[in-house]
Amino acid sequence: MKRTPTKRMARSVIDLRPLPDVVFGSRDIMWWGTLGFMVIEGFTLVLCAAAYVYLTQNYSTWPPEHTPLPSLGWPTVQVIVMLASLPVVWWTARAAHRYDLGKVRIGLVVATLFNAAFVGIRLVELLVSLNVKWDTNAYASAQWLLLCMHGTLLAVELVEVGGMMLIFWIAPVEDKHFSDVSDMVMYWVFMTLAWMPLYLLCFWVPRWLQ
Amino acid sequence: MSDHTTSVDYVPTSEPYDREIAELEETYEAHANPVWAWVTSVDHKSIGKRYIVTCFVFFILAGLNAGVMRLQLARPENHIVGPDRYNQLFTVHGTAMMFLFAVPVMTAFSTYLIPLMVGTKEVAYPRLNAFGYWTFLIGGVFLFAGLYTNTGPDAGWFSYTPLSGPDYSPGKRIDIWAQVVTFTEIAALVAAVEMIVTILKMRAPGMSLNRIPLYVWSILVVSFMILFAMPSVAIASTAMLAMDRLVATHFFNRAEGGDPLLWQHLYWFFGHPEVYIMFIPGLGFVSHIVETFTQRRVFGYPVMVLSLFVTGFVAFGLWVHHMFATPIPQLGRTLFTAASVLIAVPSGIQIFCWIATIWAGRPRYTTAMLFAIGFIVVFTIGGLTGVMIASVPFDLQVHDTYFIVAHFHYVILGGVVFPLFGACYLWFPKITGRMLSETLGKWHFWLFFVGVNVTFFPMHLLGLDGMPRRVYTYLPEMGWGNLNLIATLGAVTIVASVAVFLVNVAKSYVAGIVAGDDPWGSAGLEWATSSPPPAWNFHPLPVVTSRAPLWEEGDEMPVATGLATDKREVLITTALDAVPDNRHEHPGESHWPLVMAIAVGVTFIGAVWNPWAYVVGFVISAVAFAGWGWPRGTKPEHQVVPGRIPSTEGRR
Amino acid sequence: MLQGGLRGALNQSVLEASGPQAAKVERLWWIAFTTAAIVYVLTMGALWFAARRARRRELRGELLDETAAEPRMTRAVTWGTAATLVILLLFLGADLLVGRTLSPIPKKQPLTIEVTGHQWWWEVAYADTSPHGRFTTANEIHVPVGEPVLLVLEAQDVIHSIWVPNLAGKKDLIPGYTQSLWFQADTAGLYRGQCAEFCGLQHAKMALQVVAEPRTKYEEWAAGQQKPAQNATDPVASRGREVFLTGTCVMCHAIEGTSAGSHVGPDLTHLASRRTIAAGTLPNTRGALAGWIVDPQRIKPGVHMPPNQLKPQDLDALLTYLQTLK
Repeated sequence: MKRTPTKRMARSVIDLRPLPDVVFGSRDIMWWGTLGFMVIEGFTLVLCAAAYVYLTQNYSTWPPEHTPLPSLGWPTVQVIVMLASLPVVWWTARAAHRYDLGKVRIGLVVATLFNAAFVGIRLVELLVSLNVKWDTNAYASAQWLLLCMHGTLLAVELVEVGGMMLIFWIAPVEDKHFSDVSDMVMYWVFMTLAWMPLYLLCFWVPRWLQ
Repeated sequence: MSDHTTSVDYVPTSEPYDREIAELEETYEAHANPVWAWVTSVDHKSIGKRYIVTCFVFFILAGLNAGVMRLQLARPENHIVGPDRYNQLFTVHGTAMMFLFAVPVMTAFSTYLIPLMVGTKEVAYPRLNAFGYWTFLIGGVFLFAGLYTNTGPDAGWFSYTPLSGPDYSPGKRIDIWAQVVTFTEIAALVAAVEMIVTILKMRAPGMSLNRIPLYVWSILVVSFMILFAMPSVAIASTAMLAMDRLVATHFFNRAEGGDPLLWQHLYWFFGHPEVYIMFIPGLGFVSHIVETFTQRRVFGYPVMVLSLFVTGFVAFGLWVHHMFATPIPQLGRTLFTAASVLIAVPSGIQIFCWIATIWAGRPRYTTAMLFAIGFIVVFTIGGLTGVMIASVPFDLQVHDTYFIVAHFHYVILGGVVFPLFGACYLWFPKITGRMLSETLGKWHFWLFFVGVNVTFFPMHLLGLDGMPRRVYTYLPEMGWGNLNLIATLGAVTIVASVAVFLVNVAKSYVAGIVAGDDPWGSAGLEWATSSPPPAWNFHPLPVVTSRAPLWEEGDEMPVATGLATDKREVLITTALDAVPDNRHEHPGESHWPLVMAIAVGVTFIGAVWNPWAYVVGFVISAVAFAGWGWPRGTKPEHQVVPGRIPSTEGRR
Repeated sequence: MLQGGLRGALNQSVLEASGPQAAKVERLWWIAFTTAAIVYVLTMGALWFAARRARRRELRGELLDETAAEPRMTRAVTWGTAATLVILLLFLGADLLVGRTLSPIPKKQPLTIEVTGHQWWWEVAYADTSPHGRFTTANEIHVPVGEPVLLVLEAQDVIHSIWVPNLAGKKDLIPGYTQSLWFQADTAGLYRGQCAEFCGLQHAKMALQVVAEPRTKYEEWAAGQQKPAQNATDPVASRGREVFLTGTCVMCHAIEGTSAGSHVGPDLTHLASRRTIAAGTLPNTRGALAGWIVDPQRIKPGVHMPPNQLKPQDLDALLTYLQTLK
């Protein structure tokens, strides 16, 4: 079948040629996609936290009797490292907005290292700081749920940031990648700040409900 | 818009125009090998079509399950299937109808229609779109593979714990269920983001919020609902139920501080909005059918849009009405009853508006229009029984009986399947270029209408007469035999009507009347391009100045020109007023979405047997991810090298 | 009327209320049904009227007047919406009223019966606090007519739901939770109920019966149930007793007054006094009992009771013994 456009269209009223083809922030559809996944993941974490709180009702103390409290050391280090990463990614985003290839390259290397540290510390938190295995009781399952759910996001982010870093060092970098870096930073901030209430929930709330 | 507004004649037959079309043909040219072209396609129309066909295949398979169930129940103490097989049949019937048909078929249609309706060339993320389809396909095949190898899930589509837990459902049946849910959730979430961004950022210039077609509004509302509803079941099934079964966590194990009611809360927080996620797009279909076949704009547009939003919002406040027989505080019940009663108001308003539109218009009773009217006739019954069961005392009598089965089949068949069949008749010409037969269509409609009522109306009576749901048989002394027999006869009628539909589709696809661009004289942008549309949908892009562009503009449709034809460029507009904002280059064909979907498949199917599949799958996914996003260096003019800072404005 | 096992089983209807709970819901149903029917007929009438209007005008040669129609449409839709809202609010009010009157049990110390859901039968315990007062039976709840009765509900394995439609709405039995449900039977009779929450393979065959009888008859029955099992006197019965006690039966079943004390399956102390076996699946006849003992998997596939290969004379003796357990 011959695919001919309809003859109706006849009057040109807008010339799109002058429009830009690389934009940053909410003008860019990639930003909207990132925002969409932030909403999904953010709400997933909210629901996990709600399930966690729901399960606390089944015990008179939280953690239940004979279950040790989680340690505070590594988790607190994690929080400090996360907060320390924020200036670095902001600096990287600023460089991206100026298409400053050299600075973005450096920023992405540092960000990758930070992200690898998040994942590494998360493993330590799970294996050392929680002091319980997931199959001990519902309390332990809930703790593992929150740390693993957020940990999965950290791991996915590591693939993304690491991949971006490799693109900027060894692949032919295009203009649009700078816009992608700025979206990545938005996601980074979300992921980091999302951990803060969960940190309180996992490591401080058991101290208050003990 | 004012910045770039010019008014020049744009003659579609001129030589420069022909050159542009030739260039577009080259840009959008598919791979020479048709199989590889199919595998790598990222065209929303190609994906949409296969999505629609896949959903209908699952619809038929799940329907056949129901057929066997109806035969089993036709007589008391029947022995066509035993309890084990029966439980698998009804579980897979419900799971497939909800997760593999009712919700995804709406995704499928919107994948095809939305870019055409909003006047753009593509969906927002074509590769992600392809990935969503492949993931969905893997999940669906996995479910039916389970059923046909006698490892079909058997704890109901709601999989209540502890029945679905490790102690009472050993084996792999429930694990398959949990992972199938995960696959379909991924596909649904991906499609939701896709639709939201396509609708908000890719509308044709001038299609401000008050000019968005009603079906597009319905998909926007539903996509937002999916963002908030689906994560709930995803964590409940993948992160909790599957883990309870696989690595012995205790989320639902009462003995270790877990809670079976936590499952019900998480499940129904998803499950109730799910009902609205299914039929709100159906409401959108009905608006378009009524508009087209009365040749009159749907009455009360702002109220219609508002009703969709109110429905979508209140739908999240109803989930506890599935749990009235569990320990829930009295106050909570009252609030949920009130919400469940009042959600009938927006649906009622929409029905009144359609009736008013029909009253004021010149209705043509085509098959599509009959299905729209059939929708009102059938769905209203489901809505009225829905109000009844919002009442706690009454619900406690009929909850989990055939009264409920009757109620929700009236809602779902009325609210989803009737509009869907109507939509098939309305848009088949656009999708295939040929008309469906109206003669067969009338047969299809009347058989279906009679079949649905004969099947499901008696079930109201069975429920009041005490017949519970999910029973594989009943004693002759109960006196339920005759009504069940009638219901089975109705089911046979439904099978016949669907067979007529399939014959109609097959015949019309091959030898139907050639449709032309706009066979019905419709109002929407999708009818402003050829049937079927070219790979790029529109060139040049339409510009919208009213809510019914084809009716208002006549033959002199304003257009926007200047999008590149040597690459897949789309126009991004502002979210509220659809003012042209920037041009975005879309990626081309790719096999990576399929590779990524296979990686996800390996992860979740593997995890049925071994938790390490999560680690292995993660690594494969990372590789697929790199392949997906890695720049190929094909655009040297866009390349950035140290020292060269590009300008952002107006570069070609 | 109370005889013949399954004859009364026809009585499992929401619309044949025999107690105050079900009666109020029945009345609510008829109100709701009538209202819904009126609303439906009006809506369909409007649809019919609208659908035929263009045709009527065509016949009369009138033109459609687009602009004049708008205010009429607005009025019609507004009135329709207002009417809907009023009807819904009235219904909400009626519902809350019924809900309020049904909630509290109208008696201080009602007869309390503990019902525990098992896959796929009901354990019924009468929690009389006096010594030897407590007794356990299965799948049959006897209650005195005209008195409120409180059921205390628990589940042993998965979620079940108890539902005797003629008497009251249903309530879930959830592992780890204790719920309660009260009802009252206003007329003597046999009311069938059935598990309403899907609970696995034999969800379909998990029924129970409520036997409502005058206070004196009820007390007579309860006194009988409190006694241990009769001693087998005739030789065939005592042979049957031996078959029971030396076989696999004792792994799951209890008979008070013997050494059999397992509570995995139903208590059989007064088996012969019950109307049905296998949770309302079969009438309690000698033949049905024999079929059940030999091959329960044929009658309820998946049931937790294994098949029993007994010599014919052993089976005969066992049946004779079980039938003495009045």
